[in-house]
Amino acid sequence: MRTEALSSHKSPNSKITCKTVLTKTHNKDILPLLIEKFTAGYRNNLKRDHILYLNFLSGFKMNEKDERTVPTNSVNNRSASEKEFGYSTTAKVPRKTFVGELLVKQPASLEIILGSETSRIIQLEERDIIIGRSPECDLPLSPNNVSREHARVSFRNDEYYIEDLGSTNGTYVNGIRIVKCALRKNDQIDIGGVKILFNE
Amino acid sequence: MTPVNNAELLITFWGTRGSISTPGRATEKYGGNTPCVSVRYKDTNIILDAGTGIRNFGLELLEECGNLESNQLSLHLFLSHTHWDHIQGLPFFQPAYVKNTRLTIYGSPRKERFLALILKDQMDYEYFPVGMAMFSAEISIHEISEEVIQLGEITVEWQEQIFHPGGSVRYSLGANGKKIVYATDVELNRIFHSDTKNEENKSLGQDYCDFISNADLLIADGQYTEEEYTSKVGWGHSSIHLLIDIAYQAHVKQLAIFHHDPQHSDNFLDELWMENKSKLRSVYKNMEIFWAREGLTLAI
Repeated sequence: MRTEALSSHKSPNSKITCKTVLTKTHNKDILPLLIEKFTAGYRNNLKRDHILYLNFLSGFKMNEKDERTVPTNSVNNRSASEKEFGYSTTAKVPRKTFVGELLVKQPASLEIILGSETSRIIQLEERDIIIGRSPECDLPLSPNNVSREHARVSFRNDEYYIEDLGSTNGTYVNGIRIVKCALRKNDQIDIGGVKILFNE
Repeated sequence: MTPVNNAELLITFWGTRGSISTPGRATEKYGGNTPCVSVRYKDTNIILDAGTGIRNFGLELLEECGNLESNQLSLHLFLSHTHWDHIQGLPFFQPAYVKNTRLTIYGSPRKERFLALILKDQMDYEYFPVGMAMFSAEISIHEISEEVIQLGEITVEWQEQIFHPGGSVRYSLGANGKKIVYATDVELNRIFHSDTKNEENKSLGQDYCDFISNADLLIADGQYTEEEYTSKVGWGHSSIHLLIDIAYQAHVKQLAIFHHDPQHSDNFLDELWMENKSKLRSVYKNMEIFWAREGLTLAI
């Protein structure tokens, strides 16, 4: 029995070219030497650009004969049906068909649930929301122990955060006074005795 | 950017999970990243452990500092020990690849191998494609010998902890009259609830209590419930109620229970809290207790 491992990789953006043929046999004396030669070659040549190395690894594909063959971007690497029938049985769908139909983020909201304020729900978007006693705030709260600009809710890296803006009486999430906190479903925010539920 | 009040220490939890990272919906509230906590006071930045949480901290630092090529960033990383969950984020810490960063790494001097070699080996080519030599930052690795380390206005004290496989180090950070203690990966049950009440255990227990005494914030290992602990004896982690008891006796003001077990989902921790909160609030008055939570910044 004899199997071959062949790899060939050339990046258009790099001068690095590697081509190594590894013969795998039952000869246990030769095999370690070949493996060492194989990996050492890649160490020396690809060390400077590990992305190339990762591409190379992901390019391997095992076929029925237990052979490691050329990477996926090769013209030889077509599916069995393409080889057999000369065409693909799968219809191509343009990527843009999918784009725009998926909801990027579940809607999130702040709901005033307790305190002197009337219960209401504020839908959150990606812009910042300022909470405070000033009527100019996006979410104005009237109690005197709320600072004029008390806290900000912002959207960053696909997450909502609340941060205290140096308020006198603090911003609390689930009873803990915070400077800043990533918000999670059912977190209870307390601002000057007004309880606000975060939901998404 | 978070408004910085210069008079306060800012503590951010970037990773709170013990043993292994646990991504997924069931852990998104308290977090799935392994241990990393940052402490900032004025211009001094201290990092406690380099679990997978340090990756997000690195990204935040880069965003905050803008062009690091023209701004020098000085960071001090204190490692409790070198088990995977406390060092595995280091290769993904972006500031380490930026020339103008100065990163000093501190750890126990009592390892059998040099700390520098242990860290270098986790970036061996067989495990990770980029070697430690590719760090562009100025890196210095320091096996602690001084009793006290002064970094800007922060004073760092440390002690070895023996009840964890391979040992670990606890740190106390003091500034502006405040004290933060980071004491994870230690099996307090073997000191305080041991069947063998020998002199050594008494002394170890006293050392621990003195070290955490009057801390404004204690971040400590509470991986198991009391029931779970019975089948985890010798694993190097503490049970939650014992930790709370000791912290209370040592007059800790705020206790962040840390190093959550990988099996403890958000629901599990929330239910545990709901079952016990009345008792905790009535028995342990004046001590605030909470689950350490990824993405949380506190001021002390």
